[in-house]
Amino acid sequence: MNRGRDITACLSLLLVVAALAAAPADAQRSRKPQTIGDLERRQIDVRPEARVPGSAARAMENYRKYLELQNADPATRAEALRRLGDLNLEAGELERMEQEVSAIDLAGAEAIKLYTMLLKAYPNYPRNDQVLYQLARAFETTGQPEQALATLDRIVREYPTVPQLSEVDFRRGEILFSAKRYAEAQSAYQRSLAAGETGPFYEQSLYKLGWSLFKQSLNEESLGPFTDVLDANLVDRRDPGRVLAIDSLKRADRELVEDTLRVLSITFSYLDGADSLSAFLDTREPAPRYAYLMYARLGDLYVEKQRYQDAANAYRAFVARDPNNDNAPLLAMQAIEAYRKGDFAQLVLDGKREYIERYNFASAFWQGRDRAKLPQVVAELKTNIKDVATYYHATAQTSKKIDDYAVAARWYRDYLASFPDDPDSAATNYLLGETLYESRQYADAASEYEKTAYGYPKNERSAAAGYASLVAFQKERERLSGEAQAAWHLRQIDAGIKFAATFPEHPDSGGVITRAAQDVFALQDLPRAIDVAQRVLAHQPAVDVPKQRIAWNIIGEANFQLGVYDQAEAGYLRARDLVPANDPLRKDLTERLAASVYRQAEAKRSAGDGLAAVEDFLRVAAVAPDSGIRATAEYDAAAQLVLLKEWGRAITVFENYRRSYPKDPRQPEVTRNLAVAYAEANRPADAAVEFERIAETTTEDPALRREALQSAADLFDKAGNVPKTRATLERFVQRYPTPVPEAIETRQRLADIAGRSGDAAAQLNWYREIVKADAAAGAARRDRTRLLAARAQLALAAPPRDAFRAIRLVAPLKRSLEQKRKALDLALQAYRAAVDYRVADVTTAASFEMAELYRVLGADLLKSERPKGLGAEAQEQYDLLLEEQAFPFEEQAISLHEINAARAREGLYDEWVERSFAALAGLKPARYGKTEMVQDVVTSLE
Amino acid sequence: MSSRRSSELSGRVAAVGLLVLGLGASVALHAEAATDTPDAAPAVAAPPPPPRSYPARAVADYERALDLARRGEVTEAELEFGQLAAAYPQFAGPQINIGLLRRKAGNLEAAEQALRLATERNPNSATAWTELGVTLRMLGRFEPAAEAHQRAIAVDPNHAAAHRNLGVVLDLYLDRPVEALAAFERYRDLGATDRQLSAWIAELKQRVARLQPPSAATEEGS
Repeated sequence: MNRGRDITACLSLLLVVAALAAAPADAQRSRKPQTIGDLERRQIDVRPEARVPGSAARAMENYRKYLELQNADPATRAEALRRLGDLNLEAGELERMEQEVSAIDLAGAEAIKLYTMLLKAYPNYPRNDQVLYQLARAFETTGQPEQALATLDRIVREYPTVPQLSEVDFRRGEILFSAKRYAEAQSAYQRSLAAGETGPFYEQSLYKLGWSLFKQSLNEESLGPFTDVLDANLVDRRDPGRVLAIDSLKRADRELVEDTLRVLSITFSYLDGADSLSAFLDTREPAPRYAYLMYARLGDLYVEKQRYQDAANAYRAFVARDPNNDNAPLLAMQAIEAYRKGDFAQLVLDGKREYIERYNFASAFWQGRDRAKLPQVVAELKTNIKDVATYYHATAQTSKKIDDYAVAARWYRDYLASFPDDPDSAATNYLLGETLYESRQYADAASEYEKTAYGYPKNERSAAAGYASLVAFQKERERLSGEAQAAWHLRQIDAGIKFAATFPEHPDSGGVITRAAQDVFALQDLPRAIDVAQRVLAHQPAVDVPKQRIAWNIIGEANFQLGVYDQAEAGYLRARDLVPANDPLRKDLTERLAASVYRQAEAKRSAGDGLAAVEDFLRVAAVAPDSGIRATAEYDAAAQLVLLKEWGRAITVFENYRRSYPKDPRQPEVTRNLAVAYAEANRPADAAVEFERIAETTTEDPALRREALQSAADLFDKAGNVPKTRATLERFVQRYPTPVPEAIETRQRLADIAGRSGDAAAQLNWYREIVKADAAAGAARRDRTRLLAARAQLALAAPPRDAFRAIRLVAPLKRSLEQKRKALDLALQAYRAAVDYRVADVTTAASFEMAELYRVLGADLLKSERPKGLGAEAQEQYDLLLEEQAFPFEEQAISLHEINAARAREGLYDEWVERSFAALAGLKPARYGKTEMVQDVVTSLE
Repeated sequence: MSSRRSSELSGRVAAVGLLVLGLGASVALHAEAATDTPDAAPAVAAPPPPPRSYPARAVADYERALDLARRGEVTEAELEFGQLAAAYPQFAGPQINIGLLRRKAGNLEAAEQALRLATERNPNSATAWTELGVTLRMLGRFEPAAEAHQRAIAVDPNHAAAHRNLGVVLDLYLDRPVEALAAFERYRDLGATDRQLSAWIAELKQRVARLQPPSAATEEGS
């Protein structure tokens, strides 16, 4: 056993030396063999067991001292010699390893001398087989292969039963192989293999046997040994169904396996490639489970040779052979890669599609398999679906064909279905959206863009996707019509709002939310329009001024339409503040602002809060002085003040109105209102002027004008303006002789005014007019007109009465009496005319007056101037005569007074009846002088 | 829209205003045509007058009020009498004087009111009744006047003024000379010494005689 190790160590050393000698530069090269030649220099690395150089040198010195002692036992001396030779050999190896010398080692030479000495001195030494082996080693070490081979041959000849014979044969094979004597080497290896699979040189021998055959161009013959090497290394001995992973092998075994696979690949490539491999595998029973490695390495080799299609064929051959093998997807992948390297675009694509077909998650491959355990296959599937989708997408972008986009979309959908939670899915979803958009499936595009924007964790494309969805929404809407379009529009609006809320930082976010507000408003969903407009205003970063203006305008408009006028006002106000001074929009907003304030006023007015309504009406002028409605508002404010009987304020507003809007068609109404307001505010003079104005406005209603003129007169009268009162009333009578009763009343007033003014002539004149008008009234005559006419007539009787009274009875009596009688007749005539009206108080008055006329005439006769020169008797005679003359007049007076007094018994007891009683008391004291007994005060407490 | 409404409104306002102005005139007219209210029927039976005793304070205040009245300080006097009337509602005197002051001022309706109140305060005051009767006569309500005098007479058959006053109403205003004559004669019988009284009675007798057939004259005389 120890010896075996030694031999192994020597062999190893030999190979190292050989390698260094042949091509020192190769040591620095990549460990991976590049060519067949490289492979030939490869050696099996048999590690020497670790030794301690210090202790070896010490042992060597001990042995040397022992041999110098001549009294030693021959067997012991031989053993000491052999041990000294071994140590020398090893010391030489160590030194060489340290110094890398190529010269013949002095220690090696020493060993040869010692072994040769031993063989000669002790030909029967029982361990001479080992001495020979060590000698062969020393020959090899010192660069003498022929002697080494001869020495080994001697072992085979002289010791055919030594258990280490397979090692000796292996060593022979190695020396022969090095000498390029491949057939002999083949034989030596085959002899070594005869020791069976358990031998320590079995694998090495198989390997070198393969090589020996290969070197003899016996390619197909070499396949078996090589494959056996793989079997020996890759098949788990405890579980033959299991293939050991190359990575799990020891380095030496791994390299052996790799080299074997390499040479096999080369061999198959010399044959018919993958076909040959497949054919060969068919001969192996059971078929090796690591076959995929063989296909893979063959493919790899072709790739190295830039024979990409052959490479792909090799990979694909395995896939076709065992598609559901764990490794099949990897080879399929490599096939695609080979096509790619070969620039076979179509084949790459086909490969990828084939891959997707075979290894999509619904395929048989995945039955019973866990994706997590095959990440590479999953990754490749992902890559491939994506590549295919991308390819078709690119194709569509070139062709611009809708169908091409649809195909790309289908692939993107596949991707998303397979990898919904992939980090890349968002990006892919975006692309799906794009392809759908390009294929004019706008609704689907919008949906996918939305998914991209909102269905994944936020990323740098989220906002772009959100925006793209809005574009798609718009496109779809343009495509639709009728109810479908309307419904879609609603969704579009929602999408816009969501976008702005989610991606406020997007440069179009502000525009989108503003547009949404406009759309909602256009759809007349007013509460929502307000809400969205407020979002516009709350948007961060803040939207620009025009958008703010739009939002405020919407808030204004929507509230206005909803009847929330105070909010409307606020909205319009803010909107207007944002409009440049010279912008025509400003005027429009001012109008709306005014309207909203105006509506507030109207609402308050309807609610019965009149004063508040007035404030709002007046506020129109404050907030919107240039608005068209301002005049109306001011007018309404004033009208409301009139209703509230706030006369002073109403007057102020109406007066302003009259000044501000002189051409306004409402001016007549202003006049009417001012007339009333002045009147109510106890400004009769001003009111009268306004009524007069109404009366003189030809466009006014005639009835109103008439009434106004009368009011004007009343108010002038109230104001104490007599001339204006008279003038106005005169105008009234002149302008409105009918209806008669009113005209007569007016004349009566004129008569009264004249009376108060001391203008007796005018008064009488109006009395005459009254009498005349009443007389001519016909059917229009009324009790009242008759009363007034009667009184007028009574008044008209006063002048003739006074004229009668004024006539003094002087001598000559006849003449003056004549005059007085005539005057009497005139007065009586006038009073009779008054009596004829049959108006009670006029009748009593006229009766009294007539009675008095007679009484006065009687009394005046008695008092009349007596003719001069009458004697006493004549005087007496004359007096008697006068009494006789006067008596009938007195009787007439009594009679008339009694008639009047008798009216008392008919229930008519007025001033004139009383006065008649008083007159009668004087005329007939016994009859009428009876008076009551009354007291001024009652002194008793009673 | 609203402006049109406003203008309608203001038109209405103006019309209302004019109506208001017109209404003032019609009220004035109505006042001219004011009518008398019907007279309340006088109470029939009067309770016997209770023995009167006057509080000294009341008497003193009454005197002061009477002084004011005599001096022509009408307003102050009426106030004083008013306070007395309130303080001593059992006496008719203050209320009668209020009526007399008002009648003297020509305010007949107010006088009638005061005097009626006096008759209510003290229905046994013949003075109150007969002054009421005079006032009613001045108002032209002759029958009620006569009835008031008759109430006075009923309360105090010896109240001379009431008889005379009744006679005047019956004679001059109710043309009931027979009754008038009786009234004057009763007045005379109560000791009246008016200079014209005999003339009044003579005139009445003459007229009664003229009016009535001789056979009936004896009946009248009895």
